[in-house]
Amino acid sequence: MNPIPLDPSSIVASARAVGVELEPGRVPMIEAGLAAVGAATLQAALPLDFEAEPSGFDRQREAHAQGEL
Amino acid sequence: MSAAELPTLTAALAALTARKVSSVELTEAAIARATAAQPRLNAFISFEPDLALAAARAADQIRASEGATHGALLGLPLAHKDMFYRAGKVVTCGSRIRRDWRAGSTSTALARLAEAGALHLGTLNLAEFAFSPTGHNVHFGDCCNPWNPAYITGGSSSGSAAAVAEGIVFGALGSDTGGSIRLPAALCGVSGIKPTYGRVSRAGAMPLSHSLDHVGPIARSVADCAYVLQAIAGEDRADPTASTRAVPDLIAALGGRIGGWRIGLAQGYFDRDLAPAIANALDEAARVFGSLGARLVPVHVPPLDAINAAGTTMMWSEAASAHHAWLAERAQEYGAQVRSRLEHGTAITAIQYLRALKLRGPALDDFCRRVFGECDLLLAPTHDQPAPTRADTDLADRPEAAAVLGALTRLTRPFNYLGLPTVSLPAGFDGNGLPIGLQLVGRPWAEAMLCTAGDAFQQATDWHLRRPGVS
Repeated sequence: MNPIPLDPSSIVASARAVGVELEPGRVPMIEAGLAAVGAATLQAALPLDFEAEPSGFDRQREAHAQGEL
Repeated sequence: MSAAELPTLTAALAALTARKVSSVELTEAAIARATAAQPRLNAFISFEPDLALAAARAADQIRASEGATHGALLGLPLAHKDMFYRAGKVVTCGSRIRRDWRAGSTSTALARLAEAGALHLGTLNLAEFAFSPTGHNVHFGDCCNPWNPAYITGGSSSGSAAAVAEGIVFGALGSDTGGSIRLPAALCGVSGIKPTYGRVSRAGAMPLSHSLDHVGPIARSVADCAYVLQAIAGEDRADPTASTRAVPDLIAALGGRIGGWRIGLAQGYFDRDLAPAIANALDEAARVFGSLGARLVPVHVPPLDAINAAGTTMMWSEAASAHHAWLAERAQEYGAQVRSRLEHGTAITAIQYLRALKLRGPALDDFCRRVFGECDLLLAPTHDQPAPTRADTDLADRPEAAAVLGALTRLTRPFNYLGLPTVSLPAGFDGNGLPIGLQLVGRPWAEAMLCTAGDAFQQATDWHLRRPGVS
């Protein structure tokens, strides 16, 4: 698992790579926010199949539409 | 009963049909309430009383014409979050960047409400670019909670919930990317439906996060919400994500019985750290559902922190993508908090975003198997703590803002990622006199069941009829 980078310099670099300049004083909140995200935790909870498809959401939505009432 | 005293949209429709009240009378009452409340609540961004009155006169003429056919909402004054595009009209999106921007086309949701005959009284306050759960707005001023202006409305559909709770309009559109319909509905003591992802077209609604954005109604009662949702739901060529699935008759679903339905009492994630007043409201609501013949089934909900993490990854990435050009060129025009939240997204990699997206299907499958294998509808709180004050949550871009904002929507965000239909119902009051909201969650496309169950609950309770300054 690769967590979202928390090193301020890498955040600044990531933003700069897409054309957004961050002011140093703004980085602390970004750090806090990214720490809260911890996106990699879902990977631990639900191991991702190598061949899983983004469209799986639509299929699962239909698969679970029928109730048992 | 005078126009100003009609408690709900359905009551107003009945009075219009019986010709006990006119659309002009309803609209004049709405204008009077809006004018009186604006200094205290700041619910409106734009106000069009003359246009609304002209439309009301036309609606009354149509109703007076024997044999004339008309839409289901003919002559009802509504107002909507200022992020639904109307051709030729300024749509600020609660922002400085779009303060003078005029839409080139009309959103599908507004067009369908117009086809149904609804009137448009004005546009309603919201969080800047719908990207905050509190109701603060540094550009247009905060929208204040009608129950106590010192407290937040919840957001981002702050003006929608406040205007409905104050009794200004009978219903309002909101959008919900992480709880923005349900949280303000809960904290202002009104009802709100976030439908299944794909049930309502987002065409012409300002995008925040296209994978998580939902459009839906806020109104006094679930029955009122059903009328608005019925009008706006359904396939739309302008939005390829809008489902082609037939929309059920939500009006027919009202008044139904729920005897034998299994209501899941969410345990684990949803009863963690609940404030006592909210826990008590939840227990009392369960008792009401039991008295209506439902079977109460404890359901252990899997941990959803990870789902929230993935949802946040998607939200921040997609929002940063949508705002990328402005973020690079007009960053100073954003409020500090929205700017900081958008900046988060620029640091998330494409790999992380796509992994969060790919996990959505397995996560939905896992949740449905575990939860809806045990129950038909899940009952859970909309929020775990009482409404906070505006002062306590006025955090701009301070370091603690991310955690505070995230905590406000801890119980609503999972259903944006999962795309499940959810209704928030008023269910009590906290020690400060602020409303408490509870959620009912259904399987995909189960809006009719939600309307039946929510309406049954409201037939047995009167929380949705309480009004600020009256109860």
